[in-house]
Amino acid sequence: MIPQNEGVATKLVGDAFFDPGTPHYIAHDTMEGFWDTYRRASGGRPEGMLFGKVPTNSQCNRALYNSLQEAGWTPADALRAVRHAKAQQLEYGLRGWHEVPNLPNPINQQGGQPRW
Amino acid sequence: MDTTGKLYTRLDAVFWFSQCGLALPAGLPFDCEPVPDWSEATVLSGGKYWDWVTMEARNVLTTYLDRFFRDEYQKWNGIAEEAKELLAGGPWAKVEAYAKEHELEHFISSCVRWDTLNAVMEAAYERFNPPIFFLKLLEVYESGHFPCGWEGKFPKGRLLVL
Repeated sequence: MIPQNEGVATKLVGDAFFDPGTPHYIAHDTMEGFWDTYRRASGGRPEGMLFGKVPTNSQCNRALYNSLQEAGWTPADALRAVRHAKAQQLEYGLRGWHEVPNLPNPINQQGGQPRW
Repeated sequence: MDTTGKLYTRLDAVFWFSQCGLALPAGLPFDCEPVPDWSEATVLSGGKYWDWVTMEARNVLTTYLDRFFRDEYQKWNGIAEEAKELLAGGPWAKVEAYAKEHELEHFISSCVRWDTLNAVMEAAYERFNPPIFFLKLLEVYESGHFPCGWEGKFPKGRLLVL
């Protein structure tokens, strides 16, 4: 597994938690929508269609590609970023078809539009 | 009968929530703190902390499998899909019926589905000696109670049970 503080990162404008409408907030909001499909229901969230399962690395990379475009990046820039992530995954022996080792907990963004 | 088959038999025999609000039995596999009623249990089970704890417990299992038995871990989704189909036709239908009859919040039955599915997953990977949490939680359900929250910094602390 890639250590959390060594993962490939990119700069996005805004606060991912408190700045609805900013690229950083939107990118994370989109990723949260992706992860929600694998989570159970809670007080503020319905049960995801794929709950109980886990995505593959390729599915996560596709979601990342989409989230960066939702945040305003061009497809070419989003693809470049995802390729960096993919290259690092391969360095750690993580293949596209491998199921991801864990699901992130919700980041509990404030404000913005409800996803459900 | 294999481990998973035995677990389905156990799950089919559970009288869901039948002892909620009554005294907790001795011998549960957690240090437990009773919760008085469904009102409090609903707040706890729908809250962020219990959501975090049950996700964390699942992540401990999957991270262990990915780290030490990656090839076996790749079977996770297939096992989960099969388990969901089997559980939906039996235990989950009973839980859903109870939840509907007692007008429980939608996430209560989802909590049960999450917990029981992950118990099946722990059983399915039993031969790899994985860390166990949900199989212990199942013992609480089997006692007729509802595990609904956690007090303290997980994994230390106490299980909150209705």
